[in-house]
Amino acid sequence: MFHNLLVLIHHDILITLRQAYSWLTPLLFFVLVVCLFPLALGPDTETLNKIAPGIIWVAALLAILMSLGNIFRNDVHEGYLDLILLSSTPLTLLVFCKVISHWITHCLPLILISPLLGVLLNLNNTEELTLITTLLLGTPVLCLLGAIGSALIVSVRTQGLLLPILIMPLYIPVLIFSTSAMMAASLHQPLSAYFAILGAIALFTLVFAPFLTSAALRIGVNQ
Amino acid sequence: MWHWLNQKFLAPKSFYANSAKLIPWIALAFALCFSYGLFAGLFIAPADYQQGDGFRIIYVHVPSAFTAMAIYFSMAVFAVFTLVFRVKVAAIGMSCSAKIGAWFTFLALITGSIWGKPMWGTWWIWDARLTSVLILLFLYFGFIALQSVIPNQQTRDRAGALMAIVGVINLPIIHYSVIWWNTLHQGPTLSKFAKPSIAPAMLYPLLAMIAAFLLFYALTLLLRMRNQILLREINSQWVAELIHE
Amino acid sequence: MQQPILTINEISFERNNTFLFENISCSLVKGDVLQIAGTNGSGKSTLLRILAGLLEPESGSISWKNKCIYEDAETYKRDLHFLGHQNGIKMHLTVHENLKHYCALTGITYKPSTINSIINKLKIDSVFNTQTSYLSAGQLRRLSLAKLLLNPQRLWLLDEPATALDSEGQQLLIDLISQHQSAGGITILATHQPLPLTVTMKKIQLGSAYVS
Repeated sequence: MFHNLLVLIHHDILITLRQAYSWLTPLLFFVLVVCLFPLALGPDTETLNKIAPGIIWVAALLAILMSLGNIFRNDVHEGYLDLILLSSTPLTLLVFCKVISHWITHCLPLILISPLLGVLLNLNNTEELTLITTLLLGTPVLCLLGAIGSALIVSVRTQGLLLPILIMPLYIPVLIFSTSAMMAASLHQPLSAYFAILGAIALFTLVFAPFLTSAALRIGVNQ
Repeated sequence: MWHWLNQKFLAPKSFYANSAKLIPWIALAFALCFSYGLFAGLFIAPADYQQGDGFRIIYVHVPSAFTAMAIYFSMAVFAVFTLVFRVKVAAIGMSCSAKIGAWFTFLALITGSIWGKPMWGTWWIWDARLTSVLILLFLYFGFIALQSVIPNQQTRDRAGALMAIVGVINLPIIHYSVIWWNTLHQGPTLSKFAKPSIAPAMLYPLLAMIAAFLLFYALTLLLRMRNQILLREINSQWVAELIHE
Repeated sequence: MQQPILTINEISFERNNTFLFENISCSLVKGDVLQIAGTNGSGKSTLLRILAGLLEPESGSISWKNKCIYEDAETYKRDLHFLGHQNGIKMHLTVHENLKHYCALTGITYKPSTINSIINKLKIDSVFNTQTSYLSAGQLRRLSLAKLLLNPQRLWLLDEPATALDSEGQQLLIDLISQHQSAGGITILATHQPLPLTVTMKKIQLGSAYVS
């Protein structure tokens, strides 16, 4: 059983790697959006450092939202969704595997490149570490919540910007606590409370979201 | 038992017939609450010693904000009935509620902003409650947008229901994180909306207005639902007979 | 008189206030082949999706081995193979990976020897390590038939299975269904053109769709 799930995750990752644009475009989008801010606000390091948490987090959030539109898209076209709905493996588990592989291929690259962007915005070491930690704790939540919305509109042909509108309000707590943690880091305040809250949100979402996503898929597959 | 209830009251046809009897009573109760609340609020209640007569917008702002929240919760209740018990009328109630709720939220934002101008000297401040209401408006927009893109009726009902439930699970988390965010960034300033103690002469009209707003929601909801029922059941026998009458 | 295994009881389906079909009833015993016929847009695929449990009918019930398929969805899923008009094939995996993926998904143990005999039978051995996005429509269809062989379930639901297959492929399909039939399996085909099968088929004829 466990081995089977690993095979599924492995194949999902393989599929994404074989279509390089699908994981490269969110990554480039992330980098470009972050680079727009110094150009828009001027190169003053102090200002940039002050708003860096907001910039990086909003950019990451948007990049992930864009990638999430595709999490079930091909599965519908290929008729693969019917297959997993009718599989005897519990749908919640399959959905969970999909989200994990999506996180590995679409969020992990963002997290890996974020220290570099931190350098561009003059973050110090503590801030860099905080950034990475908040991204590690926060991005799974973004993926899990986004998957619910993506599943609901899975068969809608003209999705446009529907997914961001649906899901963005739900991202607010993660955004607030992550950026607050980074601001606290820049003020040399203790951070454990922020990480605890983010971790709690992550656990809470981990429990509920896959279940809701599988319900959403069952609804969304019939249009 | 459940089946009986479903047949007797919740089938679209019987709901349509029964709601007609309910509407005059709700309208009457609304008229009473509203006229008392408005009159007492505007003329009997004493002026606030800090804010003068300007505070009287509270009699529109607080009830509309409260009703906007209440409507979102009622949508979640409708959603459960839609998903679990497959009650058609509940799905209709849910999608009709969304638009009314969005308008109440809008009203709360506008009145909050008008109140803010004399109090804060600016139309908008990122106050915790106003921000929560703004986010609530976005949640309503998301729901309405979702329902508007799905062509199939059954899918639209269920997808909306699931979204409403996801929203209502998240709403408390969003609400408290916004409050927390607000205190973090602004320090413990005295919130204009905090009412540690309120004189009874001010309170009773406020309660009456809240009741009036909720009744108004019930009233418009029933009217909208009746409309929707007719539209959805347009091909059925009983609607055809109704049109002939 | 045999016990019916699959019973379809007065199924109706409504789409945006008009009935696509009404009161469809049918019961199938071991070894039955049922054709769902009808013009384009008459609801063949919809009925098949309802039978697969992917879609719920407006009214009516379906039971499998005397149990409602909504109450005992797990048993039904285990006994069922659904092949929609898309093939359910992942385009960026190779033929080999697709079959392995299918095994992992359905919990069948992966045996290279079985896989080899199946791909030889269906003549897709030459493209075994090719990504399926390079395959022709006919080859994709053959690959989806390979899954039927991999997991021999009791009930087959096939949506236009002969599409894109050449005459040799069609013959393969016919052989497959005949074998399935003689092994006591049930086959339901949604197709407007009948397959030249040797067994007699039961038939549901769907009328033309209501146009509002």
